[in-house]
Amino acid sequence: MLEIHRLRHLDWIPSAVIALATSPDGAAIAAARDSGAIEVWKAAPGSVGWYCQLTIPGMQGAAISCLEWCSSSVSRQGRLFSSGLDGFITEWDLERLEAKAQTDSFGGSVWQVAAQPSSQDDDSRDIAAACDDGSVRLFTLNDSMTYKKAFPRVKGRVLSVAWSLDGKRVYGGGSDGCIRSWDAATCIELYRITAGIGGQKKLEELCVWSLLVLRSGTLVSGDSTGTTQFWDERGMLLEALTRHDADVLALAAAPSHTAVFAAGADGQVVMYQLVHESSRRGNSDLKEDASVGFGDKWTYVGTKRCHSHDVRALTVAIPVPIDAGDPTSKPWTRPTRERNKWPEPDHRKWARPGIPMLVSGGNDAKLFAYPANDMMSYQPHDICPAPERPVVQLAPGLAQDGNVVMMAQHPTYIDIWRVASSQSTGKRPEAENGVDSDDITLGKRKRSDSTSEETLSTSYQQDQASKGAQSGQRPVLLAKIKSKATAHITCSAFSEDGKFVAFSDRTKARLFELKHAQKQWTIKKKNLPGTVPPAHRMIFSVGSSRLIMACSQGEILVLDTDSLEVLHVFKLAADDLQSPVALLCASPDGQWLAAGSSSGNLVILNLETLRHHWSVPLFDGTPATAAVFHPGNNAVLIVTTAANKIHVLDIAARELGRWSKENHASIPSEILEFPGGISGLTVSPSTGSTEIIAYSPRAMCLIDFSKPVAKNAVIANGNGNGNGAPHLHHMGNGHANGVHHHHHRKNKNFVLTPFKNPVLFVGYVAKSSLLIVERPWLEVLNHFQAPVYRHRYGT
Amino acid sequence: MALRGGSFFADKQPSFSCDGRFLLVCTGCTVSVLSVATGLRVAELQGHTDRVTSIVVVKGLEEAKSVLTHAWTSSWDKTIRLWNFTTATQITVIDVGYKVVSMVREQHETLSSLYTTVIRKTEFRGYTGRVLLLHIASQKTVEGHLAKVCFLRSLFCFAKFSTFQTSLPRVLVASRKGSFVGMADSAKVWVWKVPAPSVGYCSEVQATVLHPWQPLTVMAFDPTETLVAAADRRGLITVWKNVGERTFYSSDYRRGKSDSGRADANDDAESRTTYHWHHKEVACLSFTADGSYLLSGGREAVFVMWHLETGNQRFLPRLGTPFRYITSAPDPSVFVLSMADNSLRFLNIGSMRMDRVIFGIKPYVTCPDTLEWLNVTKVALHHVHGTVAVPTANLIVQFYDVLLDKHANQVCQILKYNTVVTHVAFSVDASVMVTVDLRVAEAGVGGGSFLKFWTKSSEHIPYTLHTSVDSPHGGEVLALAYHPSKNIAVTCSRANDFKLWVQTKNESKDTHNWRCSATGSYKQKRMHAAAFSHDGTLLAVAAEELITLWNPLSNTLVCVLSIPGAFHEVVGMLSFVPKCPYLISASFGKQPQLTVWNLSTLSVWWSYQVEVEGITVDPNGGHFAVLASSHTKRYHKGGAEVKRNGTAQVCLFKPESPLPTSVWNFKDGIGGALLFLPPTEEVNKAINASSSESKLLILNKHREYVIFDPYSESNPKPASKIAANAAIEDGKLISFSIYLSLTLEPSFTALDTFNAMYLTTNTSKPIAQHDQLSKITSTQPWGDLLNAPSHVLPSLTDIGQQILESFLQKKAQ
Repeated sequence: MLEIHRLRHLDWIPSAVIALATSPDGAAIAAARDSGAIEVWKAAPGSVGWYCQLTIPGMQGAAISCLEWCSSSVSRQGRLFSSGLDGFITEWDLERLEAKAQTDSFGGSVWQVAAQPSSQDDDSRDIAAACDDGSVRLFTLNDSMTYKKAFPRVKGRVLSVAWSLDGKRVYGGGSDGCIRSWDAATCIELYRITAGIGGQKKLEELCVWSLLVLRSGTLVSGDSTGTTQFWDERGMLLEALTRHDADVLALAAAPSHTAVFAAGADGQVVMYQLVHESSRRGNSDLKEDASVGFGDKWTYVGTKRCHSHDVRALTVAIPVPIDAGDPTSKPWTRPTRERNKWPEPDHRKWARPGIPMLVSGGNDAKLFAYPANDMMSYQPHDICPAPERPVVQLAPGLAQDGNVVMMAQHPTYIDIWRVASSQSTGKRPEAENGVDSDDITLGKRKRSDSTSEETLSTSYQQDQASKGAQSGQRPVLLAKIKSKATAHITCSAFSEDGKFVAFSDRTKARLFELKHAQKQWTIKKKNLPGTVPPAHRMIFSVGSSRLIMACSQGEILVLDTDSLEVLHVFKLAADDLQSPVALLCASPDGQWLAAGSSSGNLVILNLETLRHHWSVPLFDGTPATAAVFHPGNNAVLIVTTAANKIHVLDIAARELGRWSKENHASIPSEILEFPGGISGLTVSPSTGSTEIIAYSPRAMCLIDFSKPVAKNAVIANGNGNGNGAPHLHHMGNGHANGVHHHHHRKNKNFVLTPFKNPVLFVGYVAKSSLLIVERPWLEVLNHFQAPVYRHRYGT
Repeated sequence: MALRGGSFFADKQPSFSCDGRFLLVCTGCTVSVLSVATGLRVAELQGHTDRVTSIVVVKGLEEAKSVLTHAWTSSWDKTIRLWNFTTATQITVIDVGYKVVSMVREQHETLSSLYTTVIRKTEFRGYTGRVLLLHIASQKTVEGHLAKVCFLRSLFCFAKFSTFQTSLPRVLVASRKGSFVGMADSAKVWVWKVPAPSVGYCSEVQATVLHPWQPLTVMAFDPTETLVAAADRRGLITVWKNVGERTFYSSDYRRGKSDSGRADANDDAESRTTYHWHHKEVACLSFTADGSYLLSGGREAVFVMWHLETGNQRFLPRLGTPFRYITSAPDPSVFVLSMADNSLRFLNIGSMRMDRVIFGIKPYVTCPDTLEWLNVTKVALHHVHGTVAVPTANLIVQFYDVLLDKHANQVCQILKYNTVVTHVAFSVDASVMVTVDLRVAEAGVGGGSFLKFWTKSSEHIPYTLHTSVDSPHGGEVLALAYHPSKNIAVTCSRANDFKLWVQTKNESKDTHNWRCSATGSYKQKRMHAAAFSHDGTLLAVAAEELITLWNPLSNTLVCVLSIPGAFHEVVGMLSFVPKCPYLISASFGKQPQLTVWNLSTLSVWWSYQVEVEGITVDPNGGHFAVLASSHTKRYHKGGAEVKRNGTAQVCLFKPESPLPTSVWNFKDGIGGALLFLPPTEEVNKAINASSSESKLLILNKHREYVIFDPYSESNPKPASKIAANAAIEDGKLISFSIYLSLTLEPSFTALDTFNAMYLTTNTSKPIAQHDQLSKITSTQPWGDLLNAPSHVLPSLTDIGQQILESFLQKKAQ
């Protein structure tokens, strides 16, 4: 029997997706958020889900307007540029997760950038920037960016820019309602298009937000009247289609360039398709029919409205199978239709590697994927169910009075909460357990002295403390550590005994000591030596005596928290860790450390001997998303990958564990299609336990390693041997809390329990009690700006 | 001689003649040729012996002018016939061998082939059909079939789409230029290219299939034959563009085009666009002649005109009834809408106005399931000669001239969609009309009954509203009757009371007002029926199983009649026979009964155990007729009672004798109605009779009717059993059996069966009747035995024995 506690008070304000860009190979997409963070998303081969491969943290005052990811002869990954309304064009380093180069636009805010198309991976291409002062400026890309020239200034702003496919012409759309075409070499304006149709709107009010050049030479423009217009190479209007109720903000083309997608501020994604002239229309008997037009036509196909707010960005990606030899990655073909069976609206039917996908992002912070070739037939897939979720860590060592202390990492601050862990002390709490109730007052907040650059603020829950155990059931915000730096927090760590909190941003790592005496919490900053670099990931080991920090360039530092000395630096070879560390996991006895990179490497280090122990071979080309050491046996590591596969590693023997070897083929397919993708693992603190819980924002699943894995018997209505086995069960008004039992299955192994609300964290706080940190998405939506008003029938 | 009429125009798709002057409409077993200019019937094509399913007008070449008046028809009678519809003569009959559901003809120069869907075999769950190709020249079907079709009742696989309400049959559609034929099956759209005349096997016909997302209802081709539109049960309209380029034109179709941009890799179409406005099933679709607009109509009764390019819509709302078909006229701006209220509306899409409306007799009121118990007036006699009043939905009372088979007039207050007229009654001189309408509650809110009194003011306006009483009773009004000589109306209600409404004169203003003069109730029983005696001195009100007799002038209870033993049946119909002391009552329940009371002895004269659908009495006295659903075998299937056979029997009785003087079988008669028409000159003239006897009007459940003289000697007597075909070939004798669905079959056999079936429970001696019925109800608790007025109670010895018996049975159990 598991007891479930819920916390819904955590602040979670994800920021809007501003821009999207596809990597040169089409396999990954970069998403820029309003907070300045840039995320790289990839589709896991063999799996249906997308995962966030790496995140460049944002910073205060960032205002990214556009992303451009172009190929490069130097780097396989290509070069990622962003332009900002702060007037800078920035190139990003995807290995060090920081800006590589930055240049001023010399023309104020940059609304859009576009890289010159070139057939070979030529680094000496140009990049065009649409500037606020009304001119399009060219920058030459070499090692960095060099200002080349500016086209003649036009009235108003240039909002959008696009290159012709031969790279000789630049199109610019402005706030004056005109689209201009310049010769890139001579800076001569070739022609000018007025985009307003038939005086629909005054030209000054019409903004051309987006431009797209197709392979056929057709120029597509999206403007503020909600019209998508198609022009031929000479600026003649081919088609004007008004299907949006508000501004068209983004355009994208399917790989065949016969379909164009337009996204608007009304939350719609509209598909237009090129319908060729029917071969029958050439027939003589049809020619006299003058009312029928001739030629190929762009026609409206349909619309999908899955974003609740404005759609700001669109891109098309083709997730390619990484390992061509993998039999699961062979080109997927649509299953033939069975008679009288309608296609189910499920992304599992279409989301396969090799299928072009349209990805849209908008003000509601979500990303949706659509099949680019058959958008109307299927429901879009929400690939990002919990965007920018706060990172939560527990300090189970600090448990007292049935409470446990929890740390949550937000972009600019770190919260420390006290939450209920069990009903062991005091009398049995009510069914709702106090944790659910939303009307909690946080008590008085006191500002402590802020001598350092961080503001420390602690809060107390004094008034109910005397009431004993029952008051301990209420979540209490103990402390809030704010970062004064402009850069957002990259990573944080909370020691198991709750004594230390550490976090790092792009520039500096910081360490704090947390003291608890006489119901008084004090936070003391410990100044790290200046030689300690900023970290990508950090973790405490052996209680709180060691702080392990994964820094750029494959360095892993081991720091003593008392003496603040760097004890050891692992310098891992590029073969082992070539990309930033995304995962750190230390064994409870302090002997082992597992470090996983965002490109899929996993390295095991021995912390006692301070030696590199084992470089685990690539599992399936996807990075590890979660790892946990078996509580009973510290030499056993359980790892889940982005492809939702579960591996058990025997570290001492440097091989795959026995369970993995035996059951690798028989893991139920439901786990491989885990809704939302496994994002975390948690293991019961009791040493004899053989169960772990894998969770994602959408569901959780209990896996018992002591039980057999039978492919059919488990998922079908099992002829179970689960008598007396502990299973997920929550107290009280279960379904009112949003957790529904999937189905009553007799065998309790691999039972998926879907969540109603997006879940940020699931963790054992005691032997049989589980903490779920969640937040209803509707509450999160309240933080966003209201979308464009849309009349709903009957309201 | 008999007169028939009341056909349903909107059952099948009509068709225009080539010059657009005539409209050919399927009316049951015949085809009516209507003049577009006047809306009147010009000719009638008679010959099919079962329902006509489709009409194809021959569009021949200019030089072959004689062909321009030809039309093919198909029917359930397994034949296809060619007609000259101006002369109403039959040219060719082709026996297909299967019931033909739908038929189209290619419009090429060669008169070679017809496509037909036919019903091949009947299976347990429904029908399986085939689409066949038929050579006209050889009159033979081409070997093989083009497609197999599942007819709707067998679509159990779509059980999750629970919105199936109508079962439209699968209909073949031909493109305007005639190069393609298509059909919207539920799961796919078939498109066939019209083959050369020499094709020998159906498998040689080129076909392509499109796959929709939802089960489809209709499809349409655009004039250029490149677009295919189809609509589904959820109101979504899908338009495929460049259909069949790969299949039909692959040789000259441009190559090198990548397939990755296609709408659906399996379908031979380049793009698929959806249009969604309807929220209910779309029943009809059509393109305009220039192909730029798409017309659709559905169950919401809103006509939508889509501009395909921009998706802009124009609407024609408030049409009142669901759509059935849209038919294009030779004039490109005119379309004919066939509506479910049996009207044909000529719509000009340029002005979005109705040019002309042809009304047929309106269908019966369909009450929602929760009000199925409501005994609505099916038809009421309007005392203007030959006109009957038909209460319908949307607050309309239609006056239908049954002699001319023509819509005469209608009274309509305001078009209200969820309101139905349930009862209509007239004063003797027809100067006052009383109606009861019922507003159906939506989600339990807003329901209620309204009682309205109308007066005749001028010749042109049939009636004007005089008084409206909102919710005259606490519950729904169950019956309405009008006094034969005075201005008194009575309403009975579900709220266990009845009310008398009288017209009183307001002296000061010199106006007449209607007010409630009396309220009566009996033992808190529901009042289901009411009737005035013909001299107006007696009012009979049925109070559940009892019949109470009141004096309507003094408002006093005269006496109470009880059907002995029938304690759980409800009396639902009452009628006095004029000029003789008899009262007829019909009760419903597990043991329905038709009972004739002798009011002079206040006893049951005779009775039958038969379910009665309608009673009418001859105003001349001496006879009454009942519509009895006699032959229905009731059996339980999934808890619901299913009436297996729709045949009813019309029995003419003299009240003195339980032996019917005549019995007719009446197909589809269950749910029908009957009425005696007074023997006016017009009526006699219309049916070629000269007797002074009343004539009988019988309507079946489709409101097709027949008028005949039930007393006539020339009436086909049981001995002279006339077959339908014989009647036609004779050419002079218009029989009752002109079309099969309206067959009156007077026969000895019917009479014999009737007597054989019911005579066992029938006796002419009231005392014996008592014994028998008591035995039937002997299982009832003894308390019920005493629940009757004392004058009808059985003798003490009888009742004592039964009481003892009931005690014994209790113990035994």
